[in-house]
Amino acid sequence: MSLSLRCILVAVSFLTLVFITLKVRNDNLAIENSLAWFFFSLALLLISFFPKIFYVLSDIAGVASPVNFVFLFFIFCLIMLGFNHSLRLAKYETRFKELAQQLAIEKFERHRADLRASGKDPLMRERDFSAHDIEEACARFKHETKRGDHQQPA
Amino acid sequence: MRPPRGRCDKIVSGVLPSPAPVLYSFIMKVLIIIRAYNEEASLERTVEGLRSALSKLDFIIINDGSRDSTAAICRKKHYPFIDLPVNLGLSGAFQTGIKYASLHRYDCAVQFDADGQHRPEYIPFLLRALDGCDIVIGSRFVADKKPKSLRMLGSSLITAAIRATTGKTIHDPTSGMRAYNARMIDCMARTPNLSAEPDTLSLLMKRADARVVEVPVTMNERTAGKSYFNVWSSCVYMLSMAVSILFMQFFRKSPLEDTT
Repeated sequence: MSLSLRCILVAVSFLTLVFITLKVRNDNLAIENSLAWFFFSLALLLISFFPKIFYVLSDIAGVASPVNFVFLFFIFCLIMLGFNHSLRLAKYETRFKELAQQLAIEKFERHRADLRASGKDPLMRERDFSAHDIEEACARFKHETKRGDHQQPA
Repeated sequence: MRPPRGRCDKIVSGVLPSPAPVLYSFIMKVLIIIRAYNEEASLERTVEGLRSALSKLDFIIINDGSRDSTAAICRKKHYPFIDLPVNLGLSGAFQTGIKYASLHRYDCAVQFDADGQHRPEYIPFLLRALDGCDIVIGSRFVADKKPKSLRMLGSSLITAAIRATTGKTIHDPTSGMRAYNARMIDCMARTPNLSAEPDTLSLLMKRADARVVEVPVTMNERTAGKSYFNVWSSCVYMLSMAVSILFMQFFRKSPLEDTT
């Protein structure tokens, strides 16, 4: 590996570390979310100083060229990070949905309580629908459904 | 879980003669859940039709973050409506109604469309069939053959997938007109990922022993608004349904387990 390439690698990974640390410092990134990125950039710096680590690792893994092992390793790291984000996103989606539902239900309940106080409850005016009511309602519409009302799936 | 109310001890199965004799005697609290997303053109007519056909039943409109005057119409007409602050999609909006039904101990929830496709006259038939089973589907294709179109091909594929996993034939799995009993309401209110889609049907049949019955209905042509499906989204929908029914649901937890 040429000296200039190593200099570039060291410089870039150092800048990455600085960038991520600055972001954490400015509270742009929550601490618990930043841990993965912090270790990621630390590992990057370590490897740019001691690239021999990857030569040894690729030897152990039986990969012909160390550079392939570098790619393999980091692609896997990125996939894991991506999946982690997917999980977190799903969690927030669920929370967000529940929040919206709860908010809307709460709002309606208050509105309904007000209405009920003035004797105009929009729901449960006649709260029970009996078999008799069902039959009556069905009978009113008999002409359309001559071919049998129930059919169980086979 | 609370003991089921409005359940009779006789289980209705098979094809009943028409007019059906009254085999059951139950009383239930029914909530009709109408999800409305930008339905200003048809909402009022739907609700008025529902009211005149079934004045005794409770209904609730879920305004799914509409950007048109849906909420204003509900307010003006004093319809009971739950106003979601953002658009959650069909599943999230319907689940809001289910949660409300669960909160107020309704015995039955009916899923009903605001766009005028569903006819309220059939709701009593759905309720009648709910006696002894968990989910009733208002089905367009029990007696009639499916018309041949791309959309119906998709429907047939879902039918086949459900038959492959559960062994039961659901003729019209994509029908949006369904009735659920208290047991299913509790399941759907507690579990976050149960949408109002065919894969939920199959999951509930497989993992919660839901008994499903289809009742023949006819539906109107859409009078206002337009379907949110295009070719691409239909393909994506079909694929996700197929994967979900044939594969994913074997790894999912049973909705009967406590998820909290």
